Amino acid sequence: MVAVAEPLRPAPTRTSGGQILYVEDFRAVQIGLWNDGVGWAGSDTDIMFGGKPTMRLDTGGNSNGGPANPNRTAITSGVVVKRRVHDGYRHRFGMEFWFRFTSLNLTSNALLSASIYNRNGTQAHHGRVWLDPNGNNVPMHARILDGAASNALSGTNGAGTAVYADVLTSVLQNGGGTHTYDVPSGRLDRAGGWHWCKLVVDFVTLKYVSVQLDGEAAVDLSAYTLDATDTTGFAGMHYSFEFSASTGTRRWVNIANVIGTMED
Amino acid sequence: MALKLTVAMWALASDNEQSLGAGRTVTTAATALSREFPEFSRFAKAIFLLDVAAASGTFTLDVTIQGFNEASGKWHIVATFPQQSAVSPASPVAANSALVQSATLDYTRYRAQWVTTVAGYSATFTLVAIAHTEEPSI
Repeated sequence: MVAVAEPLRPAPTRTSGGQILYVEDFRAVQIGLWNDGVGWAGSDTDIMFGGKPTMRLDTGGNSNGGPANPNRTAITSGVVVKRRVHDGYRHRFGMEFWFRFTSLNLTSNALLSASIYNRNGTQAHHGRVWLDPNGNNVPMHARILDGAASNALSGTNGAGTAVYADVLTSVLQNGGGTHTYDVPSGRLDRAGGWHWCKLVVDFVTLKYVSVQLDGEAAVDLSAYTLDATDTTGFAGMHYSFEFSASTGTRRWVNIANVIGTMED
Repeated sequence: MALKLTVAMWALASDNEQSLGAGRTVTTAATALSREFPEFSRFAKAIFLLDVAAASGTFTLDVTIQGFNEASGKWHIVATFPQQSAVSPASPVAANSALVQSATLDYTRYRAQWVTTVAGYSATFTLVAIAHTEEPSI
């Protein structure tokens, strides 16, 4: 007997291409990513996406000390939730995901970013996109960690000031201050407004490849190098989200359908 | 199929859990809170296991498990351990030990609170939860 079923549908995405390495769609009872920072990250069934739970990142009231941007290395005084995959600097890798600004207090004093970085035993090479709402319901900006500029300004010890390049502006209002889900204040919009982003980096050339935000065309980032910082840390590749705040007011965002890809 | 999850509940909100340390050491009179644990949100039941691994001097340790009311911002006590004042018994611990508390996980978020009332001592404890649920349909 021949089984007849509906054809498989791809995961919710705004792009094609890239060999899928993993999918974190949070349908499992426990998230597969892990918080290597403070605050917390966990499965959220109040905010669903595509019929599945999402992942909530919550600062837990921790303060990051007020940096101007998401820094050169991940801000560990906030959430740093990650998936590690080993690779010896041999490929291009991508990371795509959906996200929404969920709680109040996200249009300022909060930093949300996504990163792909690797280490070789002596240095780390960071690709990071800062998802900057840039205010309340104005077009949001994708700013990338500019490796050449950061190295020129601050050297390679990783502690100095980071330089971010504004590479893409979404035409959409960011939804950072409206359609929020914040129960204590009586704001119960579970639908929210979801953004989508994809970042691609090249660990062979140590350069960025591209970034996409919402429905905008992918921006060629081949002129930008990854930020190199000295470290003897664990030589693994990391896919991560960083979320922190410069005040003790709790804030949270939600992430859905994270897909790691290889883009050779 | 039952799915189970082990949660180390002596973590503070400011802790990086890659280097949490083998238990929480208390030495002064204080009320302390763990971080909040969303890990429980999709689990149905849990046992909470308290163990005082080492101690010197005279102390009291009162531990409660609390669930969160997101609307009011208040925490509700869902399990209370009897007051501890000595190192826990050696293995095996009796099945009906006061060091074991069970609870249904009706809240989405939990935390632990530990209260000590005197000074001049040192006590190190672990507080771990083993949550379980049936395999979800999605």
